[in-house]
Amino acid sequence: MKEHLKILILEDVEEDVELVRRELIKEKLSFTLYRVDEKTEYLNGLVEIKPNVILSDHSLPQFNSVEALEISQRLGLNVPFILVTGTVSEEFAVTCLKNGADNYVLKGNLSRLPSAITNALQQKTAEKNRKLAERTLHKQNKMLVKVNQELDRFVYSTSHNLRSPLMSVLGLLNISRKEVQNKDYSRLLEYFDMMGASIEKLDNTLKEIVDYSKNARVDVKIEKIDLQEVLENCIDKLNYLEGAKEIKKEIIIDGGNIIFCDPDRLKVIFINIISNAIKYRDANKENKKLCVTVRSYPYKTSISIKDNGIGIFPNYVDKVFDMFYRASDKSNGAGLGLYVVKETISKLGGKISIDSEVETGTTVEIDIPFGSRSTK
Amino acid sequence: MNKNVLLVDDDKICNFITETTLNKLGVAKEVHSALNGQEALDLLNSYFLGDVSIPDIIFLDLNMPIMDGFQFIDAFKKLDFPKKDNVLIVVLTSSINPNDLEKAKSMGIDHYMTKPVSEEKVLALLKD
Repeated sequence: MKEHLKILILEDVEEDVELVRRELIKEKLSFTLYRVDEKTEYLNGLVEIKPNVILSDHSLPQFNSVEALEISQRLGLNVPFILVTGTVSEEFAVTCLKNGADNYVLKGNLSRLPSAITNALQQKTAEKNRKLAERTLHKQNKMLVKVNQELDRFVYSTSHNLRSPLMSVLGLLNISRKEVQNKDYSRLLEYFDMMGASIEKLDNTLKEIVDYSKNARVDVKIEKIDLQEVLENCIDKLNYLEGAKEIKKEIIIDGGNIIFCDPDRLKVIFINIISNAIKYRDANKENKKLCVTVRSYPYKTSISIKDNGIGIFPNYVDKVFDMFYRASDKSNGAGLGLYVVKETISKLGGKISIDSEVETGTTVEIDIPFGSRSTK
Repeated sequence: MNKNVLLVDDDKICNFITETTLNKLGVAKEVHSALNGQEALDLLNSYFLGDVSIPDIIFLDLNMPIMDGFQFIDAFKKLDFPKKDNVLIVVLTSSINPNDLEKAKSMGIDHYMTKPVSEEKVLALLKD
């Protein structure tokens, strides 16, 4: 045992302390002995010295080993406690061990003490490691159960979300086939359009799943980004969406265009939120607006995306970030969009919040811990 | 076989397919559709006002935003209107999760149809 031991010895007889010291030196233990012989001293010793080992005589003038053991246990110290005493009955020794003492050594047989100390320390270490391993295992187990449940849910929900539009296509095919058999071609084009819409829905769901999986698997990659360029690109990409061109879009950048962040993740965030603003625009409003305001700081960027769309009912606002949650039948995917956004932002170490009022509009606020400086 | 039908599905195309199939078979009288459970409840309430007829059959999707099929079944049970027991609820879903079928059964729904609706499936249902 190479470690230097701090040994707290509870003993009122100076000569006995010396005998102990001699035995330990003989076995070449590296140690310092701290002697105490009454309760307050013992308590102070435990707290201040933080001993590796406690050696305790059984009976002291105002104190005894039973109480000493109890105190060390109450403090939750988990330090080996060895009874070093004159003659005690075997029964008493067994009781001490049952109460949690690690060993007992008779003063008449002190040569056993060094190995008793070494063994007790080894045992404590092993016990600590075992408990740690158990705790880790328990934690991992719990996590695995959770992951498994999520996976089950994920498989069922995605398969449902993929099957749904597929079954619509199949249904439309059946109808088309029967009409062609009856030489009625009048509505075929209408059916083809609907098939196209269903296939697009399926494709959206697949895209959402890929975004989700990418975020979970791919590490954050920091690059120099021009915010204006990224935002314009995202808005351009979404221009094909129905109603996109009716909305007046404004980009305000404050604090500089350049930030250092993960471009792919940033795009996922912008695309999802801006496409929601387009999808949930308010058809009754003449001036449909979308305003993206970005403020960049050295190590932080704040983004606010504000629209004057239909808004979200208060009872759905808390749920919109949930996996597979769809607050509206206008939703054209699996209900993963904002969930992916939330997960993506959390991967970046940022936060997101939504403030919305029905018929007035929705504001999404995002903070990410990346800004105009490349490194801290 | 002139049935009044209520279609409840957030996928408009699915409602369209069901309606077209029923029309081709000539079994439907009045067909209304709702995009989620809540809209369906609102429609049912307007039935009581006498605007439209009470449905004979409700085709009900399970996975819908705002109010899903299970929530609708719960809410429907609490409704009180004449001849309610004559309304046939048919769960119409693309779910392949066996739990969904069991849950619907445990809620007292005996008719379960997997998408897509076809003339054959509807005829089999009406035979029962």
